[in-house]
Amino acid sequence: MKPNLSATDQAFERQVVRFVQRYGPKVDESWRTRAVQQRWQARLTEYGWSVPSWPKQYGGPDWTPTQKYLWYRTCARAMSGYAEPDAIARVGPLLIQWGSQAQQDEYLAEIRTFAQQWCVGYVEPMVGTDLRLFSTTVAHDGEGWHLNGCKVAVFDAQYADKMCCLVCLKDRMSRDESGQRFAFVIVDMHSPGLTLHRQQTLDGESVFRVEFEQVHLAPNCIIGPVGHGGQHAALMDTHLFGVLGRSGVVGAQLELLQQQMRGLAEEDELQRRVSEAEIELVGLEALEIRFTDALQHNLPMPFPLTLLRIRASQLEEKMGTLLVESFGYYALPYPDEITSHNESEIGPERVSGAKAASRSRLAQLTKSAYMDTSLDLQDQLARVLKL
Amino acid sequence: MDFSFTEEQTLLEDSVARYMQNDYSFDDRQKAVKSELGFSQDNWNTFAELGWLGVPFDEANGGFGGGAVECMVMLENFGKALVVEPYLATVVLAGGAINHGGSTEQKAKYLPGIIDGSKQAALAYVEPQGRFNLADLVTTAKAEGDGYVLNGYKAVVLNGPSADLLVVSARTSGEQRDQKGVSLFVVDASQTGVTRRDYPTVDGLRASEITFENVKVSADDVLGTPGEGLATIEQAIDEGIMAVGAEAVGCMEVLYKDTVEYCKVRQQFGQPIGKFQVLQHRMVDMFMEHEQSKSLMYMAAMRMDEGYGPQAQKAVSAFKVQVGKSGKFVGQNAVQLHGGMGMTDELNIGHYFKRLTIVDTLFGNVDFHLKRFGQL
Repeated sequence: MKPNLSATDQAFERQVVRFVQRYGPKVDESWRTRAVQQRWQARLTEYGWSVPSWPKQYGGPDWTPTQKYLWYRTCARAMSGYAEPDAIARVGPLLIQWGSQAQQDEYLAEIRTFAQQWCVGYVEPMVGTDLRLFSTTVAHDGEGWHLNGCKVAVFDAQYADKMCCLVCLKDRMSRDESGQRFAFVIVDMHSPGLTLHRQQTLDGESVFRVEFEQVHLAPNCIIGPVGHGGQHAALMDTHLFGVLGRSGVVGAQLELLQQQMRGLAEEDELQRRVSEAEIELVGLEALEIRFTDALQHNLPMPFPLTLLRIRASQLEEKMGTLLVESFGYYALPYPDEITSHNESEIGPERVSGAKAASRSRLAQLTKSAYMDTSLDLQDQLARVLKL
Repeated sequence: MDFSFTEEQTLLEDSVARYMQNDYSFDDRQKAVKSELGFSQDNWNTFAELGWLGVPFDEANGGFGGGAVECMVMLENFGKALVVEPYLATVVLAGGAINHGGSTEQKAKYLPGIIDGSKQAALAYVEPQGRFNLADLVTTAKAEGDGYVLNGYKAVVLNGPSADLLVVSARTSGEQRDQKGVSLFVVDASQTGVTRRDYPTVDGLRASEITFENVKVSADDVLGTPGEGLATIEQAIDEGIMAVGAEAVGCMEVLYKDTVEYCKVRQQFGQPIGKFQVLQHRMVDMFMEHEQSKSLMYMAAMRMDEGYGPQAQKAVSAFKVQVGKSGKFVGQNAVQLHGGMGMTDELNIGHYFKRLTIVDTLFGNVDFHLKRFGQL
């Protein structure tokens, strides 16, 4: 048993850290800025690092599981709010496993080089994670496929060229009793009949409700064999990004928290809770490393991946809570578009920590309440464990 | 980064696991607990024959040359079977103190008897007023002639009733809580002036309150440099934490699995109680607590094997905090989910719960190690 990285992996990690420092967003930049994203994406493409989770023959960098883990952890740690685009983390693997040759030829290279932006349409109002309740429908009317319904909580819809959308399929070939089958379909975001409605989250970020009214789809819009949508959805949920390496996010939160604590006197109770959370972070890292180690050596998984998702969510929430408390009165300012335009940060640097801090303070507020559907995930884990 | 065991470690684990499965039943354990000795001498002899009592000691002294990972592998399986034989007291604590603090001559004098099973030992380091502070000592050792005279009182000495050898901490200089001035002595338990009051502990082990009244100790039986004994105790205690922590991880695994099985069988309102979502979430939490403790155990064991120092100490404290919390959670919920039956002595559940509760207290509880973690 050895706790430390091999020399090769250490060198890899150093290279990755340098890359992220050089090309990731600077302290005063935000991921929401298109220019920042484009700079990052151009470098990723140049290095051949844009699709870490894809197989080599589709342009993946052929990293070992340990290297992937280090990449994810470094990105999570260094770049607050960074997320691998859904196109790469979720749509790509779906197309690689289930897409037709024509679909792969048409889309994969575009996705890999960021030439095309994608979003994922999954959640529907009042549906949660119960697939049976999905009602967004694709039907064939004799002339072509038409899409009707609504998706909510869609990220990046404002930039997207395409949507990968989970639908119920109503076609003449359906044979099961409900007449419904699930599938993912490819939707052109500029289609007539498709409308975007902005929804604002607690921290002022944007997500979208996307409505479809008789949206006409291309003939080869369906991904893979019809009726495996459930299976496909499960595949999308097994992507490692956003699960493995999330200790990096928590590590960044802890760093911010410790920075905050230095300015505070007489906070023994808070200090105690920070130590507690720090130990939980050590525990999360240990879980991640165990999981990665099993992937690396092709061993059976020591525990289901869901466990990592639950723990990471719980811990981000806990750190978020501690951070909000550590901000004291500076938890109050809410910088909206009007008052923060061209203005400097609210409050002295010492308490606000860094530029764009009140924005990140708001992000912590949101995190403290809801990082992930951890209650649903507990149900999921209960099923996996066959309780 | 590598979590795999060496071939020797795997063999050791297989051997311990097989023994515990085939030859260490819960009923036999309960018989041993109720016997006069409190454990099975036959088992102890077998442990010696299998070489287990020599695992942490150098080959030069007849040991196996193992480290924290070997200890972990064994003790996790001890925990699953709730082993009552005094491995912790004799081998890990007293043996560890002699191993880390002793001279070549002292090791050669004492370790072979521990390794071959002929000598039982105990570490007498707790005092009633000291709680978890290892340096809080009012027991004194005064230099007299070419030796020392010991006076004082040691509390809750694990394996005290059976110990032939006592490793005793006492103050040779300084004030009550000074880091300096702590010395360690090897004392023959049958010596004049040593009196014991023996009793069982709630987790089925045995301990003693021991009084030292003008006990003469030769200068040859001081472990290491006089006044510099604290570091040795600290290391032995950290190894003790690894040992009981691994036991606790073993206990949690058994409790989780037994609870899941029970909830599948036990019917209420026309269905197995495991169908109830509230109980499922509890069991998911139990599973996660166990896995987290296990992961921190691996990290701490690997850090200890890299070399004993602040980084290892910090990892050990993190592990102890987790085990304290998780052990309590898993133990209490296992009892809760077994309902009233979990409260009785007939099921093994309650016995695991008791052991887990005691493990949290041993060598410093959650609060203590949280503070230590923050300060390291």
